[in-house]
Amino acid sequence: MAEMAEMAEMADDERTLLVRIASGDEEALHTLYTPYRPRIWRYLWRRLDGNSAAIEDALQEIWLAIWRAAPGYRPQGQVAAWVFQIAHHHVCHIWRDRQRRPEGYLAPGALDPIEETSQPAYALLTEESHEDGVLDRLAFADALRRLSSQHREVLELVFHHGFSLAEVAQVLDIPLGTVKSRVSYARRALVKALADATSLEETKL
Amino acid sequence: VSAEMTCADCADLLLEYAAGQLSALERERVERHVATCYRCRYELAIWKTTSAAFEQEQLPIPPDTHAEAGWSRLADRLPARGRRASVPLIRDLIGEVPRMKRPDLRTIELNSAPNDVVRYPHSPRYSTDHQRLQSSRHTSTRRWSPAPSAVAALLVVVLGAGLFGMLSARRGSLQGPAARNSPTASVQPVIKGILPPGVEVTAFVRTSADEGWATGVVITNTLTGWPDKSMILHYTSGHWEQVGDAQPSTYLDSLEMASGAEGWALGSDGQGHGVMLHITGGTWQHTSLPAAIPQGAPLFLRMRTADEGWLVMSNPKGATGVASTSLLRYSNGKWSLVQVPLFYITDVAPVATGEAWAVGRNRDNSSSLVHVKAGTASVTLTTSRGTDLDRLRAFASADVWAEGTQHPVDNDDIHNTPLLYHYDGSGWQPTDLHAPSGAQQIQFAATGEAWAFASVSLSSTDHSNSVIQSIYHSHANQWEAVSLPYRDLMSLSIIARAAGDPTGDLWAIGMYLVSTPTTSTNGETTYAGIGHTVLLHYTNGTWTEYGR
Repeated sequence: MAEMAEMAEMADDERTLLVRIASGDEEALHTLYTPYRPRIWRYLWRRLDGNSAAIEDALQEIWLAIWRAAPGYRPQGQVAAWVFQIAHHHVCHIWRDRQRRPEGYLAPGALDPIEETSQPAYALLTEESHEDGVLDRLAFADALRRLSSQHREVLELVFHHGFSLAEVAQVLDIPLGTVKSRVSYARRALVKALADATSLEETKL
Repeated sequence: VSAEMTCADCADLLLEYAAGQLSALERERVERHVATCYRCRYELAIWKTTSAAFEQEQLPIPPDTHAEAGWSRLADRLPARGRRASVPLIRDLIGEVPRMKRPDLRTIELNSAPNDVVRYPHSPRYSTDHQRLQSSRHTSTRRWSPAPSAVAALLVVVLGAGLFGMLSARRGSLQGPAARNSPTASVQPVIKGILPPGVEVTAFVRTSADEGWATGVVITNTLTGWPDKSMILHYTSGHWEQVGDAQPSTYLDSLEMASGAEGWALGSDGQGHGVMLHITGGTWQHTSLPAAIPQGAPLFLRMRTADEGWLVMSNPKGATGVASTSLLRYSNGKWSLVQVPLFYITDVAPVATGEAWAVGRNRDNSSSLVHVKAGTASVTLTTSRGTDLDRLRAFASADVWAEGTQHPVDNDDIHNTPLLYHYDGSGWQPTDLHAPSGAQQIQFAATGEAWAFASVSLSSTDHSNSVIQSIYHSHANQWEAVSLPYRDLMSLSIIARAAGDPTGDLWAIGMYLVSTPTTSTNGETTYAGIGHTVLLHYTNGTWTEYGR
């Protein structure tokens, strides 16, 4: 309970910050900037392929956008999700400008259906391997890399940035159902990668 | 404490469990279920491994070392609140516009229509013999491109043609063979001044000094942008009335009047079928479309007389997903197809019997002016790529203007510059009216009387939405700034004057913006919002909504 009360207090503080930012308080913007800039930086690092000049430019635009958009903030959502929504939106613009491709940054084949493996995926695992929560990490890491940016982003926001699925929906400005279907797609891709790795293992034996 | 979880309940939580986001209570429930469920244990293992893989991935991300330098740079760039002079804040402007009850709002950006026929905004025209002056203006000058998949957000409201001056119309001449069973017209309650709630005007034709006809739509589904219903509206002495029943799920967006009492409204029914309504004697009925192009939807009609005119129809989308257009001539009850070397016709101006100018776009984003005579069409001139000629105004058979814009930047109206060609009877010449700098567009109200519009973007980064910042009136080659009726107008569509009425009340259809507090939670769309149409009058040097 203490933990939750603390979190609620923090959320209140951040909302107060946004009210102050909306009224033109630069110091409040700096207070928000200090913890959030490194978080957005990490987010952009993945999205912009580690190009630090592009990241720095994007950060500038994102913080200007936060400054401009603060009067429009509605206190029902998490400030973090709101901040990331602006960051996400900006990244979409960058991609759109780069590619002039409205469907954005889907990797080729990203929406191709994944064939289900013939046997239930869990049957591929030994009891020991998954009891530890340690599946084939190499296969996983590889599968993660091969996910489309769109699907990967959902998982990143959950695992890297600590957003709940509902908050991810807010960040990406898409319905919760879409978030869940992206999660489910990503899961199937990961499982398939795992199954492929396992059958490869069997072939070797 | 709580009921046992099902696998479905559990599966929803496993991802967030692995990411460490659940409350203690939820964690405990998940753990209890997983302890007894092999399948969910496996699912959890997937997410735990994913979590671990992400943690591993974090390692190569270098730390952010430029936070302080970044802040210094940012602090210098922060615009001061309340001094963002170049971009007007819509909510600040509401207090400056006349107080009136505004109808229900809808968002400006609407997705493309769900039917199979792409309805691009079309433009206007005018036929000299009958002193018909028309204007039309789509709400966005968003660049047309032959790749409609790139135009995810197509702005839908098409502001239609204005007509001034009476035609010697013969009634019933364009009824077509089979009139479907028609709803009887009934006059709805008159709403003084403003349009019925939620109604947007999609086309307007002025039929006399004090009267006009319009098509209107009510759109509540902002996802599809398809209207809930469409209707015919009659405007007289500042009053609007709905004529007859509204047509559910129909999109009426074009209107042509041959007289104050006879006209045609065009649109489509949402299933890809064209709709044409024939207005006569204060009522209307469905009329059939020409059989020459059975699958197309009618885009606009330009009648020179009640017996002769031109119809532009969209063709069904081809393999490329792009709709092109066809031109049909109507003459004494018969339709004939005219082959026109234009991919997409945006305007037609009849000038004599069987003779018209057509303007439109080619596949390569250039525009052409085409002369149609005796059933054949020939290209008179083609502009460079990145230009749109989309509107014709014919004040006499030897005084025709083609209005357009040059687009140096895709989907960005604020960098446009006006493009004008004039026909003086011998040939078309590019014409520079030396509009004030910043003007992106010029519209003619009469020969020698032009209006220029300069818009500013609503966002510093996204220039696809803009509002008019300045309007200029040119008379005898002198430009002067005219104050805006609303400072949040996205577009103003001048309804041209009658040739014999150079000083009378000038009308225009405006589309203005109203922001809503919930539309924007990010930097890009904060000041974009909601659009409405309004009929404006220019009298004694001032634009007002009511004209008195």
